[in-house]
Order: sequence, then C-alpha cells, then structure tokens
Amino acid sequence: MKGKTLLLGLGNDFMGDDAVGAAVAKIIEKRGLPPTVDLLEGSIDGFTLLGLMPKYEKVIVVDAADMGLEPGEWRVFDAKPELLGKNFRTLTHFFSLGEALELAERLGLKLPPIKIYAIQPKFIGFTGKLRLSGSVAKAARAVIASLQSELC
Amino acid sequence: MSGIDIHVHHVSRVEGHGNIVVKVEDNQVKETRWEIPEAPRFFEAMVRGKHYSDVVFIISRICGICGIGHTFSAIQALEKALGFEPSEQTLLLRKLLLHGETIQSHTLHFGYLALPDFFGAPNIIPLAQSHREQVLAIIRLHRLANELCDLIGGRTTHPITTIVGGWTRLPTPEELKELRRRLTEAIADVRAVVKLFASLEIPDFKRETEYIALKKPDEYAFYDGEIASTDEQHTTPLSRYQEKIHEFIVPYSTAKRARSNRESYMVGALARFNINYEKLMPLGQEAADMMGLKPICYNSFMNNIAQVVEVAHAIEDSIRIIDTLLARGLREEKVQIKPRAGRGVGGVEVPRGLLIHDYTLDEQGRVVDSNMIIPTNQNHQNIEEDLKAFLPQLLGKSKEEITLGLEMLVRAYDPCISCSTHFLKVEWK
Repeated sequence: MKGKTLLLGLGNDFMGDDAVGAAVAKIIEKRGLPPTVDLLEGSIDGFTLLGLMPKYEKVIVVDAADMGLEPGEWRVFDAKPELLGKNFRTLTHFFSLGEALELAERLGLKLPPIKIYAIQPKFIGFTGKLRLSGSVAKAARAVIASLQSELC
Repeated sequence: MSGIDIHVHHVSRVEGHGNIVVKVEDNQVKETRWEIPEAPRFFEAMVRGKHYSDVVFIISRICGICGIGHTFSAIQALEKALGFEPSEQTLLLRKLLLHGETIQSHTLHFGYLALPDFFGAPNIIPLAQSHREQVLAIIRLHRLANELCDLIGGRTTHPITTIVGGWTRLPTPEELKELRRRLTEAIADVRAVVKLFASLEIPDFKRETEYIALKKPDEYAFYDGEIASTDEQHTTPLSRYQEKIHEFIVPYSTAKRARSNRESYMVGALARFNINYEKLMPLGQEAADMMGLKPICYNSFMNNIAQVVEVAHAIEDSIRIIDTLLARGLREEKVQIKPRAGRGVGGVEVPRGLLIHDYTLDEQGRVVDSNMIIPTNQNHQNIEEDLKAFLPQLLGKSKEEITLGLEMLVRAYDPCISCSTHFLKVEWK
C-alpha cells in the first residue's frame, strides 16, 4: 500500500463480460497512474476487501453489475449495501462486495467513501479468454476516459 | 418419515463441485454418495516440457487458497531432483510464509464459513451484532494473514518471491519487526476465537478411521517431514509415497480417491493434530485444552477445532521464526543451480492436508513426468464413509435438519472454499 486511493477492477478474464472491471484496470495501469493511486485487478473477495479498504481515503470499484439496463449502459454511484445487494458481482465463491459492506455496517466499521463504476454486462459465462461484448467494450472505453480525468 | 431422497446439488463456476446424494426407504438408508463432478484440469500434463523455473508459477494456479503450499511442494520436489539444498534462511522464510497461508485459509473457513452453522445463520452477517468482538477478531486475523503473505510472498496468494533455490526478495528487518508486533497483538484475537469455539456445541459423532500427515522429530510438521499414519508406528519417506497412498476411482465421481491401511483415511488439521499434538507450541496446546480437543480424536466435526488450534500454533511459531531470522540477520544469498536429470518428491501440509508433488526432469531441467496428490482427493472416500456412518444418527429428524447435519459434516473437512459456500443450495426430490 502506497497510495491514498484504491482503484479496484473486479472480474474474471475467462467469464465473458464479467471481466470488464479487470479489463478497465489493466488498460489504465498500462497508461499510467499517479503514485497516489494503488490498483488491484482480478477476482477479489469481499472478506479481503474488508481488510483492505479501511487503509485508504477513497476506493473506486469498477465491476460488471446486473442493473436491469441495456448491455453496455453504465452508472456511477456511491456504494451502499442496500444498493448493491448480495449479488453484486465480485467473485463466485466468497462474500460479495455488497455483503462485505453490510457486514462492515453492522460491525460499525468505518470505511472510506466507495464509488462504484457499474457496467451492465451482456453475456456472463465461460469464454476461456478475455472477450467482452461489443457494447460492453465500448462502455469500458468510456469508463476509462472518465476514470483518467478523475484520477490523473 | 419413511422414504426420503436428499440431493444436495452444488454448482460452482470454477472449482469444487460436490453433491450429497441420500436415499432412505422405510427408515433404512439405501444409498449415501459423495459425488464430485469436477472436470480434470490437466496440470500434470500442462507442466511437461516446461523448464523447472517456470513450473512453480504454473502449478501455484491449481488453487486460489493453497497456492503457496503448491509452490513449496513443487519447489521441494524440484530442488531434490536438481540436487539442491536450500539454506536455513530460505527454509525459515518458507515456513513463515506457509504459516501465513494456514492462518489465512483456516480463519476463512472456521470463521466465515463454518461458524454460522453453529448459530443456525446463513452466513456471518447476523453474528456481527450477537458476537461483534469475535467477528472483529476473525476479520483482524484474516487481514494479518493476508499481510504476512503479501510481505513474504510478494502478494496475498500465488507468491512471486519464491523460486527454486531461494527468494527474489527478502523482507527488511524493520518489516519483520512490524510483522512480529502485529502477530503478538493477534494473540488476544486468537484467545477470543478460542473462547468462542470452546462454547460451541460440536455434533456428537465418532467413527474410527486412519489419519495421515507429515511428521518430524523436532517440530509440528507443516513444511516437510515423513509420512506418518495413526495406524503405524513407523514413518515413510516422501519418496516412497506410492507405497502408502493408493489412489482409485468410483463410477459416480470424476475425482480420484485414496486409501492406505483401511477403506479410507483423513488428512488435514485433525490428522496433523492427532499425529503431531506433542509438537504444538504452547499457545496451540492451550487452545486445544480450552476447546477440549485431545488426540486421538475420531470426530471429523472437530476438524474445525483443530484448525483453530493450528492458527494459535502458527501465530506463535511465526513469532519464533521471526525472532530466529532477526537474531541471525537477513542476507542476500546467491545460488547457482545447474540443470540435471533426476526425480524429486516434495510434500507439504497445506490447510486441507498432505500435498505431494513429484517431478522427473531431463538434462536441461525440463519436466518429463509429474504427479500430484491433492489433499481433498485423499479425503473424498473418508467423507463418504463419514456420511454413511452419520446419517443413521440423523434419521427421525426433519429434512432440513438432516440436510444441515450432512452439509456441516462435509464442510468440517473444508474440502474447498467453493464447496463450503455452495452446499447451502439444496434440492429436494
């Protein structure tokens, strides 16, 4: 941990549009980030996030989320357990981010502000390699632009 | 309840699929099966032709929890094949990192996944209010273990500092001192967790079976040792593991199973405890005493308790290792390894039990043959035998109670994280 802001790109490269958060993070990392921002990408469980997030002043999460929108539509909102629910996509096996936030709230843990960039996926299923749907890839580019203007 | 079919169907997207199938007619158990529908993953074939220096990073990906253990089992085997003896410093750091994985995995299992069962809760969230301080202790222990792995291994899982021969990066003395301080603070959290688990009502179940784990004369074996069994007085060198472990398959399951002296055996925390109890650090012995765990324990549900004991042991032993490292001083070590043909067998106790890697190298140091014996596969037959023995105790209870009892029994083995979380999906037919 070096920075004050944690950028989390969540997703599994092998699971279609589930990978969008990780894909966004990979591209942003290649383009360069200021030293105040730490970046993590991949499948990170809610338990680990619970230990990680309190160390930062601000957390930004990029992830696929089923919001009932058209594929490729995306939204930015502040994380709240009741907004995320238990199925917010973070990882198959562990606690979701939503559950981790609910646990933190019930325990009275102080977390930094968490901003979510949520992208509506088109297809989530085994693809065996990074393969985003066209509309989701287009959304990823827009999210990258927005994040770069926010962070850099 | 005269006739009942239970099918606990568990679907997972990546790994760890397992189903419990039970048929009862006229209050008689007709069928009890533990099915694993996992697809083969071909890691043994994947590493063939690969240079030894690449192998450890490939096989780490076998498991998202035990990546460190897989790495060390492979490194041990490859170093033996290459005729390389690691330094004392290297061994101490490896043992420290392995403790990090053990604390991380055990805490995740007993704290987040098994504990809610004892309170009739679907997950740990309801416990946040009823057992706030203990839940916070579990979160702190889990975080500490992740940070230990980050510091020594370069990242939380799938370490990048560990290579055949030694390390690509050493921690600084200051980093080790800070880690030592955190570990010392964690002793209070361990005691809080021990107190909680000592208050739980563990299901009353006993089935005599064989326990297998590594054993060493001078320490509670995690990193290395010889194969020991509760059915034998002698130990067996790792290089002769195929004389001890006999793998087999059954038609309704894709995963291999294993037996040794009996129809099945158990590996994991309880097996290690039963074999190595006397080598526990004082904090581990204190934890065992407080929770009423004594060797030889034949109750598989007590595997959760043995995990808590091992966390206590690992915390205290990590402090001892750090003290040793600081006293002797950390220094960069240059190693030279000349590739050669040979075969080596490595064995490590990962959270779920004995893990063996076996490699044969050619003159250029490329893998020509490999074999891996995975802990969960060794436990499958024992899980099924336990289910068969436990089910008659549950007859007369409601469907929900029977299902929960069987799930808890499987979960006690900590077969894998995905299994534990997904057993909660139940289908009744």
